Amino acid sequence: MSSRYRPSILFQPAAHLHFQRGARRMVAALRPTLGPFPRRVLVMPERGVGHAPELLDSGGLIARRMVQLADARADPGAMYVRHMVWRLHEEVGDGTVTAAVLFEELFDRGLRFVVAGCDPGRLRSQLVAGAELVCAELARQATPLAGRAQIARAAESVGADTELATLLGEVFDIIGADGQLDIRTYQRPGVSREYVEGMVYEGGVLSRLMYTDAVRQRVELEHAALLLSDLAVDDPRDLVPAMEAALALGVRALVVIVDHLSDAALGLLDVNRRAGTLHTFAVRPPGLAPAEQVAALDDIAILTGGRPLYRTAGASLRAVTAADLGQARRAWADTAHFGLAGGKGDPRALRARIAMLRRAYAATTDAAAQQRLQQRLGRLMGGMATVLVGGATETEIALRKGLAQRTAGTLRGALRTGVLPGGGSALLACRPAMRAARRSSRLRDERAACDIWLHALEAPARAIAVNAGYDPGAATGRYADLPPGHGLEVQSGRILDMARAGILDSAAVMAAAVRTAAHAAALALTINAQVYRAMPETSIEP
Amino acid sequence: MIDGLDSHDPVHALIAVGDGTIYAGRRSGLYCSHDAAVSWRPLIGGSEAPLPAEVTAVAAAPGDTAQATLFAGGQGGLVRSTDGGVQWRVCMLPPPPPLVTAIAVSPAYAADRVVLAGTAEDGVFRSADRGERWASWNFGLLDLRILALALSPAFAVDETVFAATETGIFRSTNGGRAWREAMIPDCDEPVLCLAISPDYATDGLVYAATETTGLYRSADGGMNWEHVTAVAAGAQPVNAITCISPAEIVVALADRLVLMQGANAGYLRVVAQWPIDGITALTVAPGQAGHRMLVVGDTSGRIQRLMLP
Repeated sequence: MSSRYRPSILFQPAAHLHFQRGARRMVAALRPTLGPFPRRVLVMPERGVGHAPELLDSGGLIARRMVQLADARADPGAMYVRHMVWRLHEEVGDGTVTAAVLFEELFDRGLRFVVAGCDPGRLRSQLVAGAELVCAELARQATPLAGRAQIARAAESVGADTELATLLGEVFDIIGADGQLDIRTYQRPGVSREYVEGMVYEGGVLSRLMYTDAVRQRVELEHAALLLSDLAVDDPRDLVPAMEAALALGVRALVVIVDHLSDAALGLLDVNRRAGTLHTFAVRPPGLAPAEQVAALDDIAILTGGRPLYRTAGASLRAVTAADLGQARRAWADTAHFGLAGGKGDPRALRARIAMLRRAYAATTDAAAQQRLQQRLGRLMGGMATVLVGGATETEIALRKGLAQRTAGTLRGALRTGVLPGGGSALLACRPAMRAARRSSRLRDERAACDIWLHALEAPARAIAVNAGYDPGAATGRYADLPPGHGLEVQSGRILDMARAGILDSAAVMAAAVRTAAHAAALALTINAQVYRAMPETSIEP
Repeated sequence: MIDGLDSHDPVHALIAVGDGTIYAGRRSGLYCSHDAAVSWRPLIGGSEAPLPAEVTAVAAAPGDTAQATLFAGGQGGLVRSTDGGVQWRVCMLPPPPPLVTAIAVSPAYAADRVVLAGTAEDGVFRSADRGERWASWNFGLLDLRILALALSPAFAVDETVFAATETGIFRSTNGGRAWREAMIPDCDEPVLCLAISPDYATDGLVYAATETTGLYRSADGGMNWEHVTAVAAGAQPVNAITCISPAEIVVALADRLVLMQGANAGYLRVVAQWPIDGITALTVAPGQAGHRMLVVGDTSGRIQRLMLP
């Protein structure tokens, strides 16, 4: 691949045509992965990065791997689609290929109207308005997702892996939209799952002396009091008030969560443990950043009814009383994690904290912040699930793990916002509203946008049919006048009520795909010139 | 009315099994009656396991055999008998030993083998192998202080369970493995007991009795709740309820027992009342000549029989 281009400025109509060629190349690589019969993309590793090729069926990851086209004139269009797809992948985890297919149709059809004299700026605003009409229609069609079987069907719609979908159906029926989920790989065929009760954090026990089970390298305490602080303990006398307070509560176990314990302080705890006075273990506050530690200590305090003592607030361990200590029925720690179950905090305060975190989650659009909030919510909900994904080869395991992660993200969204009839039928069901909007419109650009949308709404269903081996013309003909929620079930070749057949899409993912594609395509139509550099940078961000 | 037992021995739980045997969990242990609550004899643990000294919860697997499978709980855990209470075995619950406050056995126990145990501090334990192995299932259960459990009569199909806690109601639709709030609006006080319509699969009727605001009813499986104003509980607790038919419930207030009937789900009226103080447990048992008999236990230790009109 050449990285040296000829510097130039390209104007219309050439600019649009080259952009379109690049965008089509990217969409063509993504489109075959759509639907229940996905075809995959094999990506060779970069030099020096490894030897095993990647087999991908995630639109986001495929786009991310395509960092440059050899065709310099087409490269901007391809990279434009790449960034759109990756951003959607980061935000909602799925729907990327649907967005890419919609983008291509909106841009191609839009370009015809621009060439015919439509104003790109006005067409842009009308296309975005059309996207909102489509999203409103999708919201109207959405139904709640509930029950193991229905969740499993929604999972199967993401990737045609029945075994994984069945397992995720069970897992999400239990943990819900907010639950803690860890997806790991294991070197065995098949998939499995484990459930852990209570709140689990990363961070192992501070001293091996504290293990109650040296073989399993694990300590377990019952009826434990908890000291919650981000203070460091250098002087062992700092621990004495907390130990006395624990004994005053009538418990014989203490979990010490502090930033640091000196050897002398560890020695004091060990002496009391050996004497049977007070069984203890100590861990650091979870998280690396101070804000993370404060959030974790606050959550543990809510769950256990304790009061955290913060360095920044000038707190002192010498003033600890029984009222400051939290309490839990069970506490455990091993080399890498610690956990609590049966916290004795006030359930009303716990509900208020969960409601606050949910509001914060809904208010932010930052994916990292949402992930942190989701982890906090999951811990407060009382348990954690681990999904173990295996396969025959490393490539298969990696593929399935990626699918499991993508499906999990989709299911969380679907549990929050509901599900739609799948297979592109929900978009097809938006056509009557779009036709009505066209009939009532008086502006040429508005009618043009409606016409563009009427074609685009068929594009995902058509792509699924073609990917399953149906003739494009025959597939298009089947969508002429379908009842709402009906579509071509490509496995049987019959027109079915998709929701009743268990073919479901996440409403949140579909709405995000529609909005992303519409905004990106409408903006691309306003491009008037393209500037090419001699040494364009490879698109490594993201 | 018949006074069956000594006073000052509060009755915590009463159940009637299909063959007419009635079991009573009391402060002094577990008792059974084979003559419609006329006489009682204490049950003692066999050689393998003693019964809890104080039995706070008791449940029986469905069936009309005299060799009923029984579960009895108290401080420290749960025991199980498969011979009508002659021999008992300890059920191994995860530590620390809990105080069992409620036990619910699946109506399809013979097929699904599911038993649930509610506890005072540890939420809900679930067994899917007739009580051999137990695991804590508290996903989404934000209040672990369980006061009552109620299973849907169609549990084999809908897997629906309700849990009453110190701060509200939770519902599970996967057999007690995960819970979602089914909260009564503007009410986060203790829900002392629950009752489910025998026709729950079709009418979705659930009743919830609270400590200070009376009785509530949901006609849609716990999604929405309405206050039942026909019974003026005032600020007194509703200590026990039982749904004897889709249109009839019996409500135990602090000073009386009330029978209510309704022609449909939206209206209930009081049809009979009995002045009894401190009722803590009640159950419906088959009476003579096909009559229905209420068996009522109270804080003073009396167990009384009432024939329903």
